[in-house]
Amino acid sequence: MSVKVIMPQLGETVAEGTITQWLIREGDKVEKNQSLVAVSTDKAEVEIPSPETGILAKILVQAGKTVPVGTELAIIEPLSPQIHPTGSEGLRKPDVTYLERLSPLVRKLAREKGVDLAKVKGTGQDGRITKEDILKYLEAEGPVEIETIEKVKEEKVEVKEAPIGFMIPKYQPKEGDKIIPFTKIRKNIAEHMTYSKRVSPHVTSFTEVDIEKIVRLHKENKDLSYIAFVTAAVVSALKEFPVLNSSVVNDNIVIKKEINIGIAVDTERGLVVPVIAGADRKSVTDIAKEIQTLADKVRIGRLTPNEISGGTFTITNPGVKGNLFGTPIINQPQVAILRMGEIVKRPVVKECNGEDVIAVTHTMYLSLSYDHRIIDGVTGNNFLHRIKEELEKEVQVT
Amino acid sequence: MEKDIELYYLMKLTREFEEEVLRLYKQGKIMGGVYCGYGQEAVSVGVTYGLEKEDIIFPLHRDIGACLTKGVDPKILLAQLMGKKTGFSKGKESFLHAGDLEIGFFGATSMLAATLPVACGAALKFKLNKEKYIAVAFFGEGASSRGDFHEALNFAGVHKLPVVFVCENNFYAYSTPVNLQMAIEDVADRAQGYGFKGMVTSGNDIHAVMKTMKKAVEMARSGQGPTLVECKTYRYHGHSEHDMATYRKKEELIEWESRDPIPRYEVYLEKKGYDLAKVKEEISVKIKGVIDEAVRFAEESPYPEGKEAMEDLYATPI
Amino acid sequence: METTYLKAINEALFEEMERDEKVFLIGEDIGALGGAFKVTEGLFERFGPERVIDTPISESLIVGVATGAAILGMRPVAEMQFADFISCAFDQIVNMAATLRYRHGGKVKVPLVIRAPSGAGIHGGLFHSQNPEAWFFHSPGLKIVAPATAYDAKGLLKSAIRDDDPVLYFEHKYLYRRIKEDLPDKEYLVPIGKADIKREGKDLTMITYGATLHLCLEAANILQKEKIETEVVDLRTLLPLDRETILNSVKKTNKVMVVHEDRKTGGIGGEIAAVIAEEAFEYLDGPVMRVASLDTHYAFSPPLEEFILPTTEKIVAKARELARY
Repeated sequence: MSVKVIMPQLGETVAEGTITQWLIREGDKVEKNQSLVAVSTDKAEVEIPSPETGILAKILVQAGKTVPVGTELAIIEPLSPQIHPTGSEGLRKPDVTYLERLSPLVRKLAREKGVDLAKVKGTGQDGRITKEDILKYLEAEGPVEIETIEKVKEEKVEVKEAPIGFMIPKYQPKEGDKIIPFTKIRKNIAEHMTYSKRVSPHVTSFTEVDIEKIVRLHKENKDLSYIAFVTAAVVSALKEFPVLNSSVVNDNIVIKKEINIGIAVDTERGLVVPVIAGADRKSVTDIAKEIQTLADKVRIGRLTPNEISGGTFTITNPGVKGNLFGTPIINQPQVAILRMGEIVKRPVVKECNGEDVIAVTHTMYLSLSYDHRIIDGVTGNNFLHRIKEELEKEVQVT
Repeated sequence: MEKDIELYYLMKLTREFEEEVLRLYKQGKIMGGVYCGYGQEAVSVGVTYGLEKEDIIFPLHRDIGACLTKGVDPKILLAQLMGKKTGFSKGKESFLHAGDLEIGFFGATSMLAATLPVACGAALKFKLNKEKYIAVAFFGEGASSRGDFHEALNFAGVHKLPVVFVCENNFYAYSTPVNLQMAIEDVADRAQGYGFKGMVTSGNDIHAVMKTMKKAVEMARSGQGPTLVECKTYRYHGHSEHDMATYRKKEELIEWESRDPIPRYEVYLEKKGYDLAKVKEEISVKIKGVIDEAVRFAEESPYPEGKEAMEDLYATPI
Repeated sequence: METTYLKAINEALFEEMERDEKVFLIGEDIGALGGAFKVTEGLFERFGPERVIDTPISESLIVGVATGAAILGMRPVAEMQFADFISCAFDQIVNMAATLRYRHGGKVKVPLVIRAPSGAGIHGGLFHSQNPEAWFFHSPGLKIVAPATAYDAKGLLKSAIRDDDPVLYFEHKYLYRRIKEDLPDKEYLVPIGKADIKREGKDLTMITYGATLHLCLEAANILQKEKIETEVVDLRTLLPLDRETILNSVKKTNKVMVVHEDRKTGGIGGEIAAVIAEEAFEYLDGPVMRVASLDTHYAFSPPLEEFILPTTEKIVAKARELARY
């Protein structure tokens, strides 16, 4: 699927930019993040990194030209293995003709059996889906969805047609009700969460962590956030249980080489997940700093597409109120997500001089949701336990 | 009651009942069309008086008197007119468009003369079953223009059915005078074309009416077939109560008012030696009682429920 | 016993007149002649002039007299010599017979049957070919039946005579001598208000009545060779419609067409289509189609008549269109 390169907004008041020089020739290969084109504004000179590895297929704006922000500058044809939606023969693009010709019976059957009509081949007049077509489809394939989302792009989540499932009568707004239309982000989240729950059979395991040591470390150095420690612990655990750092692609488990941890941040616009890329190569301090930077960027709405893409595992911490533990929803196409509970002083049983005593300790529940297609209970539990061990051991802060 | 008094009672009852109907109509308690037989009482009472219970009369809209004489309960009749559930139609039709076969009266329709073939059907039934009963069908001179009239008389003549056809000729069919209605003067002459006798009688003289009817009924009952009895009469009011009848001359009305059947009959009673004042008084009291009771019954009777509009369509439901 | 459609009607009349002395016949030329088509042959000789009454030419009177006798307890079977003449008795049927029970708050009943030979295909021209059922279809208080087979003709007429309401019995004259069936010796009735599935199928439904039943069955055989299985529903009773049988068939095959010899516009096929659209909308995998006579008069000359009337070919073509949709 081709990728577009667009003129970025290089400054708050910047409305246009000028192509100074193309650094890659048309037809040549370019690596992701490699400098693609030099652009200048009245404020700065910037080199735009390539969003993708591939061939610079077409240059749309030549050097010397000035264009408004958002203009398409070039098209890149990616070379990395494409994850195609399955069986392109069976699929049809939302086609006006066949949608217009749905008979009442076909609509009823689709609604009752949860069939995505885009997947049914029509053999009636002008490609109309007939009763026989939909019945045949139900016999053969059944109404199961097998599609993956490739990337979570900023503001441009690939919205697929949600399959027609079980529907109850929509609520009719009454006088006095307040109607808030979905924003794009809200719609994305709504569809993503629904999709995730449908595609991945979620199991959630919980563990209790004695976080006393981390609390002390945090007191000494406030820059070291709890989430940074948890991230580091997760990274260690992922090295040992790489299946939790993967994706399901058709009937394959694709274990990823990179460990990019997404940190879910709540904003008034909705949930945003900036990514610590290559978290396995970073120290706790680095991670903490990066998390802070990203959080700041999120607040001012300045995240770049790169900063919110490519995550392989997500950690979420939805606050310190009413957050004992929870059952988080996997951030597709990942296969697991960890949720931090609130840190609270609790009475715990400890062994002291061979005796059981009750001590007051800072504890935190961790909740791990994982995709039971590829991760079974033992693996999930072990992974989670590993995180606990990491957090409970004597930490050397580097 | 003696016959002489009874005839008077029935004519007066008819008149007073109709006056009450008019009052209720003006009060909005009776809706739709109201057709007054004011002035024709001698015909409706005289034709019907003396018929057997099983004889069936087929009155038209101006024949409240015939219904009352045949034995219709004034309470039920008034409830019918007011569209109440206790009327013959249970509210489903107005005025005299429904009857009660048990007292031998069949309801009218707005399609004038359509009841005549049905009267022939009843007469046919009596004949086939060798019963001694007869059918008496009323119609106006205007109705005698309709096809059903001719088909009925023709059939009755061929089969010598036990039916008496009674024409109330009041010279106007709504606004149409007789000379525009037919090329002949007497409707009775039509009978000849169908093979039986037509007799003209003075419709405002109850004795004349009864004498003529006696002959006709005798013919029918004895199997000699039908007769057409034409009663010349006059209606004082318009065709219906919203008709001012400006198409008639005042002189004509005065002439016929002077032939009013009720004062005329009072002369008879006096000459016969009755204490007229006393008779009038007694009858008046009696009639008032009957009408008051009828009004009370009808006013207290309930209207039908809306959903009853879907009932009584079929005898054998599916 | 192989019996023609005509003979089946004759037998029904015989049997009912034997069974109940209140049953009598009234119409034109039904007595000595035995009827213009010989439907009432032999009845005059058997039951006499008091039970088989020849009338003057007076359709309105015939219905009126029958009504008058019926309200007093007799069970007349009146005949319109051709259904086309029923228009002369229109007032007596819709304003008298159909309203009497209602107007009398249920205290009167009118057990009347009016037989009328209807239908085209015999080169009858405008006044010997009509199908008048639609004129009476929306008259409450009436029942209308239209048998298509000898079996149904006999059973329905007996039911009509025993029914206590006015029944219009449209016998299709084209079928009189053209169909012969083996009828049971034992007495049987065909209920009013029940349609009959004359042929079962799963791909599409044809709803029909009268002479076009036979065309539909022919068409179904042709379609079978093209792997289209047709269900043919014979209404038998037009008023009241057997909605249950109609809707069940629609739910089964999901494609339906109405076929009748009466004209398309204003024919009862429109009402059937509306009922289906209203009550079985979500079961339709195709539009409700109709095959009917064209919206013109029943012309006389053979090429004209053929152009106007439904034929097996026209039905097959429409069915193919529907099946392919």
